Formats: sequence, C-alpha cells, structure tokens
Amino acid sequence: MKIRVRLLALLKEAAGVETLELNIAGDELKIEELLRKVVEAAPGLGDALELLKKYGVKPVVMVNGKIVGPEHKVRDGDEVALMPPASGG
Amino acid sequence: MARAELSEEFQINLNELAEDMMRRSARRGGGALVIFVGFVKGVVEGRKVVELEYEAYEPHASKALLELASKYESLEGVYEVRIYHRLGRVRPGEPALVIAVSALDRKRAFEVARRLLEEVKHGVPIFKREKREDGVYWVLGDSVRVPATSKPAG
Repeated sequence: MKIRVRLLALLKEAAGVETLELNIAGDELKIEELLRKVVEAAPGLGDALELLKKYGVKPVVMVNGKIVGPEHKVRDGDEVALMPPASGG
Repeated sequence: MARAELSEEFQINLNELAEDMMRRSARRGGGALVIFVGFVKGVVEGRKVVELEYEAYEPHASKALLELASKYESLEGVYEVRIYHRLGRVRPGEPALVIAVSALDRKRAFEVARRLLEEVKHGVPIFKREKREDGVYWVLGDSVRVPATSKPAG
C-alpha cells in the first residue's frame, strides 16, 4: 500500500523534507509501526521526536485531517500528518 | 453566515467589522459584540521579538476554522461568528488572530468568544516560529519553546 506522510513545523525542519511517499507491504498498519518506518526513511525526525519527549511534548498524528491515536490503522491511499501540538493565535 | 479566513494578506478594518456585525445582529435582536484581537508580542522572556512566522496544515486548518465558526454560530443566542488568522510573517504589534462574536447579550458573547479562542489556539493545525534577538524558536502548544535548527523545508 502507498501512504503519504506530511511533516509539519519543527518535524519538517528536522527531517529536511515535507512529504514522504512510503510503499509498505500489507493492507493496514498501526500508527506506532508506521512511525518507526517514517523515522527509518527520515533519520533526522527521530532526533526531533526525542527532543519533543525531553520537553514533555507529544506529537500529534492526523490521518486524512482527523486526529488519531497510536492504535489507529492506516490503509492504502491515506495521508498521515505528523506535527507538534498546535500553537496558533 | 459563519466566516473563517486563514491568509498571509488580510487587512481587517475593525470599525467596519464591528459596524457590519452590529447592524446585522441588531435586526435579529442581538445586543452584544465581542471582538478579540491577538497581536504579536514585542518582548518574550525578556527578549526582543523580531517576528513570528505562522504555517498551517492545509486544507485541514482552514476547514477546521470554518467548522468551529459554524459550530459556535449555531448555538442559541449567537448571531454571527468570524475568525481571521494570519499566516506567514507577522511583526510585533500586528494582529495574528481576530475573533468576533455577535450575540443576544454580553454573557453569551464573552463566553462564546472565550471558548472559541481556546479551541482555535489548541485544536487547529497552525504552528509558529518565533524569531527573537537571541535566536529562533518553535513554539509548541501554549508555552514550550524549542530552538529551531534551520530554515523550514518546503
């Protein structure tokens, strides 16, 4: 299956890339497992996620525009976005 | 009708905004208008701020703002809700966020504006970098600041 991953803000900066296209075997994959594959594809992202943890901040994951938890399963054609907590206003 | 705008270039005339919303809600029995303006601070943690740079996850951020405006406008006693949020570079003293709520009375107008503001700040995928005299920081959530390492990609 094909999954498009968008990185935003600090995470985009750390990875040095805005969008990743991942080809993954199987029909579905849990978010937590997908994140491991994303970090493999963009190593700088792993350091940024560790940095967030150090500051006590959890990244937010959206699938097709909706916030999801680590147990959510992505499917072919989904767009996954990985971002820090919002800081609008 | 609820309105929301996420843009690099908006110029809001607050007098015109207020007059328009008061006129429209008065016809329907409204008697209160609350306008919140969030503007860029010139000093943070004792350091001079040069500018903020906003980015958003589009089209989802624009969609979320419009959904919030519509949700709050549908409440009883609320007549009109408008949200304007800046993108790109914004300098100290310039508005970054304007929320306007016309309602039946002051209690409803203040309450809705306050609740809506919190949802806009925490629930919409908008992010900011803070450029200060002592460096550049990503702002995470309400108050965590992490040094930026380079210019954003893309």
